[in-house]
Amino acid sequence: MSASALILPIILSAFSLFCIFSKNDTQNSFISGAKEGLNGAFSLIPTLVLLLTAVSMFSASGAAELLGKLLSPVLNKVGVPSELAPLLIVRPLSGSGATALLTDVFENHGPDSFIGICASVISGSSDTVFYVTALYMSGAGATKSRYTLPCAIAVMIIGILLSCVLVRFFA
Amino acid sequence: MAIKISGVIIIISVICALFTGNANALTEAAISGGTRAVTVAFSLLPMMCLWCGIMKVAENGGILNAFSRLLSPILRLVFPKTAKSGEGVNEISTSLAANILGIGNAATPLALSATKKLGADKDGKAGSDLITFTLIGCAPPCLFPTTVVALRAASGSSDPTSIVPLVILCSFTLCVISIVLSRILAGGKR
Repeated sequence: MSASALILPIILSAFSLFCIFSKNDTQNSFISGAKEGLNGAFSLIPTLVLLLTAVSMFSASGAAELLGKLLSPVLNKVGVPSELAPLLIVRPLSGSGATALLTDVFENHGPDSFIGICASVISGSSDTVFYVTALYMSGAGATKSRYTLPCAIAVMIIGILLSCVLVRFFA
Repeated sequence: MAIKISGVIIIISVICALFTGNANALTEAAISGGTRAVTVAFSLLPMMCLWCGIMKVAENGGILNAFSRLLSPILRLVFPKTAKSGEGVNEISTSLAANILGIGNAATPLALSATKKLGADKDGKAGSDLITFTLIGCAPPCLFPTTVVALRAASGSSDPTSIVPLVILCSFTLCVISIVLSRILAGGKR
């Protein structure tokens, strides 16, 4: 048994203890939160239908393989599996697109394979760089983001490399 | 954005299929893709419900606020300009706390109220603190990647949470790198 298998049980135990001893109305809180999750997952469907149609076509046409082959000289040199090429390109652009591609990686290579674990760590430690930058800058009313985007992309690339190195060492 | 991306992907796929002769498989894939979307959304559903429910209890129980108070002394070092004026430290720390705990729904509006407080210069230039905050938002530190874990479980992983320690290590390292990079580039202009 690995220690990581205990993460969720420990979180759930802490949650349960809190609920048993809390004087708040934890049941109502839980249900209203869970409803938000329900809506979140349901509202994903329309976008995902579009994206997974595209992603399925991309795999079936052989384009995904071609893209991997095209980028493999670069990716292999830095220790990143070339099968992840489509995921790496879409990750900074669209969150649901990345979800669609992550599913595709899991289906084709398995979630516990080296490729699957690399994809998991990359997805978990990155975000939609372009969207977040645009959102935060417009939220602040800034029109000149200066060095933000180059830095954000640099950090993302470091993240991809670091994820694969960590997986090689620890997983 | 999703519609443009899928548009580009579909066109590339069709062109590619014409060359490789995989046209039959293409139609089949186009039809089955939608089914996969529904399967994925449904497989995410229980985990999303459970996590969002737990996090709502944590939020209402004051854990988000407590965690955000815990963060604020560190943030005063990372956002010197904001700390000096005192405006916006609370917003930044609550938004980061929500990000770290994986309360995605709450994180975005909180981040927006933080960016409002951070603001921009008169000529529309982003200040160094806003840039630091944006960089952290582009690679947010994360304690529990809900979607990834749920997708792994749905794909039949033997240990869906095995990646959690690596995600924590990687995302927090990236957060430190973002902060250091941003402080270096901000230079003397504080």
